[in-house]
Amino acid sequence: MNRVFKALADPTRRRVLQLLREGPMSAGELSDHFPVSKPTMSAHFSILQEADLVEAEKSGRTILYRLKMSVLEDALLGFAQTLGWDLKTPDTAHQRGTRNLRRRRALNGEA
Amino acid sequence: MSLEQNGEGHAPRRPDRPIRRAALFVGAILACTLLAKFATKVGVFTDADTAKRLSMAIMGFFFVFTGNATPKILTPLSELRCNPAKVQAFQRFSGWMWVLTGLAFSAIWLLSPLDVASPLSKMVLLGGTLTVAVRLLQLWRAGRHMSHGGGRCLRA
Repeated sequence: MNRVFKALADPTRRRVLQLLREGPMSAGELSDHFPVSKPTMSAHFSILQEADLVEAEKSGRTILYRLKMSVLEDALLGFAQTLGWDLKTPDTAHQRGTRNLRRRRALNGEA
Repeated sequence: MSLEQNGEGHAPRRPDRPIRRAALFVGAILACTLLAKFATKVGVFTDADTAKRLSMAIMGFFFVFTGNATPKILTPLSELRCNPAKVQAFQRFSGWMWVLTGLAFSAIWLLSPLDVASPLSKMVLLGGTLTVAVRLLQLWRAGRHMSHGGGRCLRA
């Protein structure tokens, strides 16, 4: 269930699931809806597959994705969409460092 | 990493898992029913109807369990003879319908008077079944139009 929550916590993945509600779509068709790189989309698809929310099926040279959500998972997606869940991942050391640097620069009046 | 790689590389799921789950669930239903009967005999339940109420409520949960899993049962796209989007829509609809019917069925047996519970639960069950049947008929007709008289929409 943890994997499902993780998958549903991201707005992009939720949008992918919403798009798949209309019917099976290829990886390319899905990617066209998002302004992100293909590797990023690949990672999203991978997380969705790990959570068993989508299934990939090879059709010739393309991969078709289709929804594989139970009613409970579907309801959770609805809740997540309504409440706007967003996963707050703990900051990495690099992110913390960058933020602190920006804050210091702002305090010093630097550009 | 390309998008094409996503279809592979994941560990195959065990095919006997749904059967195990179903067997476990059926076992749990039987065990609960027997326990309820035993509890009535021993005197834990003073009311003889409690065992019946519990058994019927568990049966309702079985519909919920079945309906919940329905959209997860996927037929390979190559074996579908009608629009996969329509098949998916039907599966989602029937899943939701069975879950709601099961919940209503259980609630009726747990909360309403016994003389009302029996006819009301039958009506709810019949309503749910008919609604799913009508949608299935629509899907079958759509498949007939697509395959020019073949009429098989769910499996080739």
